[in-house]
Amino acid sequence: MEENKEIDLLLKIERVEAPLYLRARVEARIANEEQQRIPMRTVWSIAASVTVLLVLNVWAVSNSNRSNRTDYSAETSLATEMNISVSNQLYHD
Amino acid sequence: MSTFQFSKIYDEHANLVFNVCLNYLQNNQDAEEVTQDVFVAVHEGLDGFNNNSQLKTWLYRIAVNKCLDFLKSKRRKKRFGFHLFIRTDVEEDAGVFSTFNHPGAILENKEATEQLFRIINDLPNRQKTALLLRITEDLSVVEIADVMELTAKAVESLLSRARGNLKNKLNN
Repeated sequence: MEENKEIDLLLKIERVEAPLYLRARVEARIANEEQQRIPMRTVWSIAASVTVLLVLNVWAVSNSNRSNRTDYSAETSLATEMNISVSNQLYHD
Repeated sequence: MSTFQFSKIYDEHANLVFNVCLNYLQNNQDAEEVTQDVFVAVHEGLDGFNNNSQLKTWLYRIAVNKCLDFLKSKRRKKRFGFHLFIRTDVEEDAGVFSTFNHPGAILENKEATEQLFRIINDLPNRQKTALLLRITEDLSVVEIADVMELTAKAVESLLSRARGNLKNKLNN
């Protein structure tokens, strides 16, 4: 059969030995990649620093919101007594 | 992982990996490049290698996947370059494979072998993988199923479809 005859060509392909220099190239690439790899310790310490920084930021923002005064009645009444405008509008009646 | 352990794996399996890549890519230089990729991946993954699966199966799987990645990256580069000049939706696979340079092909059959590989390269990836592992690597259906992470029945179906497609293309 034609198909089998053609496929038989694949069976005739000879095994080839990997070139000897390939080993040196593989070893060089592994050494190169190991050199470039960032140690896990560094990765974890950066991640921990970023987390601490984020937590501190959240804490600082929420704390400053809590301590912000919203009651300005004393200042408003003093300004009214002194006839000072309490409006921020520059042009008003 | 010890250097000794890796060296042992390299010594015992370099030829196997190189021949899989060579049959998949049909170019000596490409096969060398992908063989390097395979062993770099082996070095990285050996610590996490599950001893339940066979080392040979694992190597076959990495080799096939690296060959597919290599062709995918070539196809992507080619498509990007192509689209820069001519905008078209036509998917062209011609030129993804480098010039036929298979040192294992016997000189007198070289042209016919090249022709056959050209047809095999047109098969869908899974059919091509199953066919090459069956014929050139002489793996059993069960072994191919392990490599491709499929059932034996699925591999049998892939092989039968691959042979059918091959037959059709050879007749045309």
